[in-house]
Amino acid sequence: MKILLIEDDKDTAEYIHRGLKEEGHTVDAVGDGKTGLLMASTEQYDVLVVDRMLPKLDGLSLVKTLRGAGTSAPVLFLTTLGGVDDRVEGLDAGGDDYLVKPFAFSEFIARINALGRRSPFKEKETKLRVADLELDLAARTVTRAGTRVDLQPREFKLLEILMQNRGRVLTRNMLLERVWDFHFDPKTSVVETHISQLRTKIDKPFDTELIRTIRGTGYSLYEPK
Amino acid sequence: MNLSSIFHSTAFRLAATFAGFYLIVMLALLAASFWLVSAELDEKLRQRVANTAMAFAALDQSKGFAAVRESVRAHVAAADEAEFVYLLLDQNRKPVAGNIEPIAPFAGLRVIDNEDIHFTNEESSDDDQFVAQFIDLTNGYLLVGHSTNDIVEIENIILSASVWGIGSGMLLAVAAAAWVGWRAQLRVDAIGDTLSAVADGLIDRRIVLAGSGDDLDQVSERMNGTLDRLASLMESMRQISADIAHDLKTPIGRLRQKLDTALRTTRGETELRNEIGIAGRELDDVVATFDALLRIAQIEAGARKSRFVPVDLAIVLRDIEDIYMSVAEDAGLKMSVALNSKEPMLIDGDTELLTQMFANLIENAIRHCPPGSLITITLGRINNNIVITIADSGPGIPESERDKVFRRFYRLEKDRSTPGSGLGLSLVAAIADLHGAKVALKDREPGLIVELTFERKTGYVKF
Repeated sequence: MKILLIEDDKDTAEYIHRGLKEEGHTVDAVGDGKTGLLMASTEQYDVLVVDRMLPKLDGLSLVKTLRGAGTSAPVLFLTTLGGVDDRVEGLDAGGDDYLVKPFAFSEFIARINALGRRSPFKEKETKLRVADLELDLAARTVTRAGTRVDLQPREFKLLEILMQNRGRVLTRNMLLERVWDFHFDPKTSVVETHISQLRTKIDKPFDTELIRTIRGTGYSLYEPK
Repeated sequence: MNLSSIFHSTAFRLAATFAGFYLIVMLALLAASFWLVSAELDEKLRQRVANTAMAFAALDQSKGFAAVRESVRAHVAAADEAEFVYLLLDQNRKPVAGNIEPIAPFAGLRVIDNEDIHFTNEESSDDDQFVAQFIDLTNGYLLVGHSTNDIVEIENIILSASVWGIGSGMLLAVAAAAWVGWRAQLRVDAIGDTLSAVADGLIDRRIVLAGSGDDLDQVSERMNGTLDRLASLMESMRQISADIAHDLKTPIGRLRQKLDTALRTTRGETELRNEIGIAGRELDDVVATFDALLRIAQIEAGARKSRFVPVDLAIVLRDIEDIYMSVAEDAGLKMSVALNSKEPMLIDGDTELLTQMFANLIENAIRHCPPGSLITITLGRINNNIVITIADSGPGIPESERDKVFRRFYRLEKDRSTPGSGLGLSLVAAIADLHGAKVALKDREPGLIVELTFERKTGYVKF
């Protein structure tokens, strides 16, 4: 993917730049808001990574301006500002995701990937299908190999998010945010318990395991080749 | 305070305005009275002159001209002050009797000035005007007149009384307004002095109330409330700085030592990688603690309050039940939830923070209870307040430590060696406080009951 990184701290910028290149992405890196705005407006990028505290033009204003001008590229805010109101401000300004520094690199990559590509499923698709697993969003039903599976509302939502992000790694934090709307780290095994329950219902009774644990990072749902 | 500030004060201006209005009204009343009295007296005098003239006319009719002549002479002799004017003319307009030089007869009742007549004796009158009337007699003409001196004197009395009255009234009004302004300025100065003292660092100063419950007292009371809040925020900040300095440096110090040891003693690359991995995770813990402290501080300072919306606590708790039921089961615990309400339990709040608060409490219970324990959550109304309890049959909290557990970094004696930052309950306390709820810890015997009371606000959404 083609990524624009707007970050004024040289160490952080280098760290991210190198990491993204190792993952196979193309990266343009700039160190201030004005240059960032210029580049984002004149070139096409798959993802914009924007620090909030920038010289010349701060991150929030930059994104607001871009959105106002019609730029729809997904924006990931990267920032030390992790206060109770800061994330909401970032999303209100037009950001798509918000990651607080310092962060684990695997978390960063997982979120970039989640933002970057279009969903494997067409928008407004009401039926999601991976291998023989089918999820009907309208009827709120799940079937595998033709058999109906009964899921609790949160299990359904968890499966929905996993299927919509088929093939991508979703970190524990991402799942907590998207499935449970938890913006804090629970000390108990909320995610693990629910994944385990889901597996019991949709993986164990069947041939292939679709839900995979990616050690050290998170979970992913895909059909193994 | 100086004179200028008194004259600028609202109290003075109000008082002066009222006094001004009052004086204007008084002036108007006095003017009206003056005019009425004057007109009345004038009328009376004219009547009197007319009556005197008619009396002489009657005399003329009954006793003739000569009788009138005698009468006039007698009157002139008797009047010792030049109050009256008499002039008797014969048919040829020649003077026959009277006390003035002859003048030509005129018709009707007239006011004549002193310049138009001359008194025959040297007792010239100082009087300025006379009301006089000529009447036709059988053999001549008679002028009868009376000075307006009395009227003028009365008018002067009224005028000077008014001037004195209004003059002194104005002086008194200004003095009273100044006094009122001074008293008010004293109180305003007292408020200003207290606020300056607080700004200078004397955070315990409060405005002294006059005790009258008037508007200045009400504002003062509110300001005192705000100062109380300011003092508590400052204390909170001070505590945070102390906490950060002390309690974050400990894990950071530990980390430093670990890295040091790793540098000096590790053998191979694998072991080194391992140590670095552990160090990285410890740093993550430190960052998480720091972030949690910051969140608590922001919540205590009232962040998010402006985004409050009506939240149904029943829905929040059902959500929590949904999420943690399986987690509790996995830990070998039973969880039962009793939401005793058919109607929505609404409060003004933030769903995310409330969820985090309840999650924290449930997680505490899950982590502390041995397998086989029971966790119960209830929601109900007592005396119009919404009461939520989270009870467990675990080890509980000893009574001596119950009021300390909400302090930041506080760990129960028995838990000191187990992992945990000690911030969970501080966060619970901060979120509860932000929503105006009270937290109480009680003994379930055995176990702990956490009781949250949300006071019902009057005039709120219909329950």
